[in-house]
Amino acid sequence: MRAPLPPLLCALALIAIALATAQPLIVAAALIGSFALYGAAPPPHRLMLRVALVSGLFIAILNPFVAVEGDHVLFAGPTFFLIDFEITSEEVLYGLVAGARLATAILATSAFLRLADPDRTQALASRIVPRSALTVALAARLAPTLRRDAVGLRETLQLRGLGPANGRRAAIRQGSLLIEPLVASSLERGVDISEAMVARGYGGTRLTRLPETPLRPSEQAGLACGSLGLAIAVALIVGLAPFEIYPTAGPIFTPLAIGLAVGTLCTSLVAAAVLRSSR
Amino acid sequence: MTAIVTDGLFFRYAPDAPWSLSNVTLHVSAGEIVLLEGASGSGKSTLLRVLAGLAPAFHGGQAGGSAAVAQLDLRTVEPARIAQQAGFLFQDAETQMVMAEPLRDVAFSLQCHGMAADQILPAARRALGRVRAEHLIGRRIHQLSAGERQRVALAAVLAPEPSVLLLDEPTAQLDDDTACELVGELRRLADVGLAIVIAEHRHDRVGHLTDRVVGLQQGVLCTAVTHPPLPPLAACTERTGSPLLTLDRLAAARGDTTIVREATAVLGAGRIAALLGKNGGGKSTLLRTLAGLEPAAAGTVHLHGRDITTIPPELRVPLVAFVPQDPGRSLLCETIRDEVLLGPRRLGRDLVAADALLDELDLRHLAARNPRDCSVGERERVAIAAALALAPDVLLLDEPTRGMDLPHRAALVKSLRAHAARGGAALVATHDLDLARACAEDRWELVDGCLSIGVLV
Repeated sequence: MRAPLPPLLCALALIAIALATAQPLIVAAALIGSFALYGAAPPPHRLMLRVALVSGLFIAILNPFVAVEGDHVLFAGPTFFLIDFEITSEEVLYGLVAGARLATAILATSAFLRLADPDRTQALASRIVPRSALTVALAARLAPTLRRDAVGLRETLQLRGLGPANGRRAAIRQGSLLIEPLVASSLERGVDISEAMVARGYGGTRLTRLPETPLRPSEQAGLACGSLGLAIAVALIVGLAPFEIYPTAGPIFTPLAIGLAVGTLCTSLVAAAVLRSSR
Repeated sequence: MTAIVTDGLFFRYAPDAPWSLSNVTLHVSAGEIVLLEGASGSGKSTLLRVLAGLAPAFHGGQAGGSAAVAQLDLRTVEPARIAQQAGFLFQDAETQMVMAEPLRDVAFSLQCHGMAADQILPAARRALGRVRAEHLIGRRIHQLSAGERQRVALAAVLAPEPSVLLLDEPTAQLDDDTACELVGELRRLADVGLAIVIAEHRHDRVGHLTDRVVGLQQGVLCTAVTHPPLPPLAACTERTGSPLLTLDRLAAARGDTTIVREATAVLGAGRIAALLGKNGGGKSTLLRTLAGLEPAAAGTVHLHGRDITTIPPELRVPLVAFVPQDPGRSLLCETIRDEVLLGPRRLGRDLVAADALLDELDLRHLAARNPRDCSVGERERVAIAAALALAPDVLLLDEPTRGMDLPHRAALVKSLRAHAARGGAALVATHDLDLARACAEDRWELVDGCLSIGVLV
């Protein structure tokens, strides 16, 4: 029964901060903050942590080879097709910032999804878009069921003696065997739940909206942290601590940037601590 | 007062399909519990769907005659209004849940009925308390056991205080204690004036608390046919064949939680063991570990003396075959015949012997049909036939009698005994003690994660 608004604001603030500036210190602070927020969410953590790190690193490594910008050449090399082997320090820095932004977005979004109660999130969203919110709630409710159905189908294949396929062609043939039952199974679940909703009286009268449960003190603290984070993001958007990477990276360690990075870090660490306690 | 009235009711799902219900005339009074009995596919679920206003309004089809529930004419009143008077508990409780948390899910029923916002949560709590499920508040629906889900679903149905309750196999997934509690609760509800219609194959579980038993045969109401209970196995032999499956201090885990600790047992050739235990006691986890679908947390599994603990499931086939719980959701092929023959074709096994299983488990008349067009019990039989078609040495079955009527349970017992007579072994996890007594010699019981072995009495 966790309120969705505090983790939503905190996650939004971290993503907005990371996207509002290219200042490496502040983006790094947002990344650390998103790690902390994700750590505050209930387990399992491994999957999305891996997705965030791999995606972030991929962007960081890729950028110097596809960008052709920056004044400070670290390595001068030829260009093959689209791959540019002339590496500049600005390309490396931009790659790191872009990778950190992506990882921040993935971790903050995952943290929100794990920290917020899906039913209360649906109730919150239904104030704006009632039917779409219910559809999303149903999708969220059905996600573990559909995943279980998919695992069941894969297991049935194994139990009939069909193991992991050797070779791409065999894998495609085996995968195609699962497409029809997967689609049929999801449609069947969809029909089942629609029938159940009709049987429970959905669509008769207007759906009564449940009263919102008041926020607990820890959730109020999380809300305050989220608001503070959003204020930092707004300050960055309106041009406080401007920073350009191309063509030449500006100074990184300015007092203002350090102050905003510390602010971001402290806010997100406190938010993570209070949201963990309200779990 | 009569709560349900049907007069000459006809129904079919398509204009060219045979009638699923034919000339059904049924009267159920308030405070009465009526047990609806009949073979799989006899029209029990269809009748309940018609009474709930779902057929033809939701499913389409053609209806004739008249039917009324709580004085609402089913031909003219929309399903949502009927739902205010008639609560419907589905065969698979999970399918009727909309929200992710029990209290919110029960509240959803009340939101649909337009109850005042400030009364909803207290009423939802009361409904959960009524079925002793208040302690489940705050937990995730998908993490609940089958029995717990059934209680939440019942609370959601009871919360709007309907005058009629329609239940489709409510005890199919429950252990004896939970089923007994549920049936007791239904009796109490009837005593305060609810009219209850239950479609159920397990007469032994609900029969003693019902006021009337009505039979349904190919869509026609008839006098309930009393089938003799499954006869217990004639003689419980002490003879044990050569060890086929050996568990040595095996630990089975679900995620990071060890559910079964240090299980040590031997299943001999020609023996069948019934795996008993409460809902959530670890029966499925143990079977999945033996089938290789879950890694063993500790200990070893030997088959024919060979260590198979780390062998993946597809390489255990065809020595080990496993039918998981609710296998009907995981069938792969477009026809029942293809489903049964999929494994033998892949392994180059005898297709004639596999095809004969269609007769053995009464599936021949359905052979060309898509499994998804079949009832739960029929799908269950398809999955069992597909496993038996592999001619395994060890057959593992998890709750194989869900949705299965007595004659088909008897056919299953016969198939299992034939499998044992050929020198195979089987481990059958079940809450159905009659089935256990009819087919198994050995009793494997899981209590608090510990496996005890004995002879089935």
